[in-house]
Amino acid sequence: MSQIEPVNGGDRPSYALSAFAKLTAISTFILICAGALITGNKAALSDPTWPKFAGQNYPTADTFVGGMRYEDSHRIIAGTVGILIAVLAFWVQFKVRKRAPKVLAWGAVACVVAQAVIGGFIILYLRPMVVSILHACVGQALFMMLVALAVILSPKRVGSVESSGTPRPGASFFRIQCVVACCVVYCLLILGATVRHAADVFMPQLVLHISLALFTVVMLIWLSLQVFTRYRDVADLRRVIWTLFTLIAVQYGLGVVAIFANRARLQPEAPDQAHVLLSTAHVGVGALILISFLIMALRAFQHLPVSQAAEKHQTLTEKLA
Amino acid sequence: MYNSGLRCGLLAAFLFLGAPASLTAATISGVVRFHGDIPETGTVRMVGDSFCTACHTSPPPKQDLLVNASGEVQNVVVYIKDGLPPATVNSPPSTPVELRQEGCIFYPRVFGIRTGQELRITNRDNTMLNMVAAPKSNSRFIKFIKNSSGAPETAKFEKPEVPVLLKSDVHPWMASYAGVFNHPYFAVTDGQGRFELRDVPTGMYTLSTWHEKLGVREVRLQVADMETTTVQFRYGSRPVEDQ
Repeated sequence: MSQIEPVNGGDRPSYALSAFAKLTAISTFILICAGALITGNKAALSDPTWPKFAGQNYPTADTFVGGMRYEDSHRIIAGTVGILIAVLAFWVQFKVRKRAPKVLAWGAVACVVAQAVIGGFIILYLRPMVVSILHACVGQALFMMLVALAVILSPKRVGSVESSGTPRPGASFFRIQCVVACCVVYCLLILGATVRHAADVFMPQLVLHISLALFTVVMLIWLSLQVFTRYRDVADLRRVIWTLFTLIAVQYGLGVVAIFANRARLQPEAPDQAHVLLSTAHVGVGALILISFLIMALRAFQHLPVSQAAEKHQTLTEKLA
Repeated sequence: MYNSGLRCGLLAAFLFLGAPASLTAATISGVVRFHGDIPETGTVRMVGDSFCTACHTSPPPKQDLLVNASGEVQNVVVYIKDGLPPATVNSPPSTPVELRQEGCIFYPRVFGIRTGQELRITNRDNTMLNMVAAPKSNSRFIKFIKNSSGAPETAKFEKPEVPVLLKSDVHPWMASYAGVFNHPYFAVTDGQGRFELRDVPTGMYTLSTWHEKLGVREVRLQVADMETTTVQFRYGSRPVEDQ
């Protein structure tokens, strides 16, 4: 029988901390969607008085008009998420002994501070395209960190023992493929942000974005074949695969709408709210696809021991630590 | 004796140099027409600001394509694109160009301005004015006036550029277009599609138009001394020159 050992190296599971980590991750997802609403509603520079609200220290009903509603809501949500992340970091610092969660938590703090500065830079320097894209990408990276932290801190994972420590055939390669898939999807999101923030409908990026989206499907089919042939017993992986197929199917439909919404963005008129919501959903589902691939990678590290480390298999957390 | 001779010399020089500009000055005038079925004007969809919707009893008509019953097109920028001698590039007028927000609409929709000339932006609404200029050649700027009691803002453009879009990120339906020139030979067509460029020096020029929906038309023309050259631009077909 394999060695039985808590994944998180002896940390006792904290339901409250885990719930708080999940809440913070969900808040970050809401923040990403709120940011997408700004772009969709052409409201990026609606309130040039950053970090204030229309020149005031707090928003009022008088200033909460037009595009400013989206921009100022984003600032309020961002401030709330910043506080949540700071609290989470201190909580992890004092509650968790392992190094990896601490690194992730303080990394998230650094990311959220960077996001605030980048957000201000976008407004003060009138939305330089590269900085807007950077803002979108760092936001996704922050979301990944918080999801990874929520997964690592989940009581199921902290208190769990591995189903089997027996080396799995091809596990090492599968893990690498999962990490590569994560990187590919992250690049896909960067390209998506480029298309979305470009001053014009930028065809080369759009073509590349669509090509990479097609490649993601091929990648997912390849990964699913491995899961359903070699690792059928790992329910977590099967669940992630089905989730990804569903999300990607939805994302393709939303992508078509997003292209039309992006063209309409260039016209000086009030955007169609249905288009705005669907293009925002495209950004949101994109973020969910990214973290689903991330979760698959984390599950692969958790559930599929590699032969070289059969005696004491390492989770991703342990590797980071 | 020496002073009087100098005065005479200066007078002669003034007459010699100044006279040709006025004597050879010509006028280019004309009209811009739309060829084909006159498009229907839609209405502006104002959302998200109750002040804006309250300003209008019914949704105001769009200003992006104004064609009258005779097919004459308003808000077309007509300007000399090239062929001007360098001497015609002189200092801008001291009077500012006025741009205002009223009823959550920018007025004028299309205007011409000189490089270095002041653009004076005022807000007559009791709601935000947010103006974002995102030109390609000039510096970007953003102007923000909280309400009608806010002080007017000013801006300037350094380089010629046609067009410069001035938009609002608070009220996304609001837009105004500026044609920025380093010479005075430009005009914006009126409600009858008419334009007139006065005091144009003699020469061979490219006369160009720009319209936000209809695009660009160009024509080469010779301007003769003291004459009025008439040009008719047609959108929807090739431009026609009537000399």
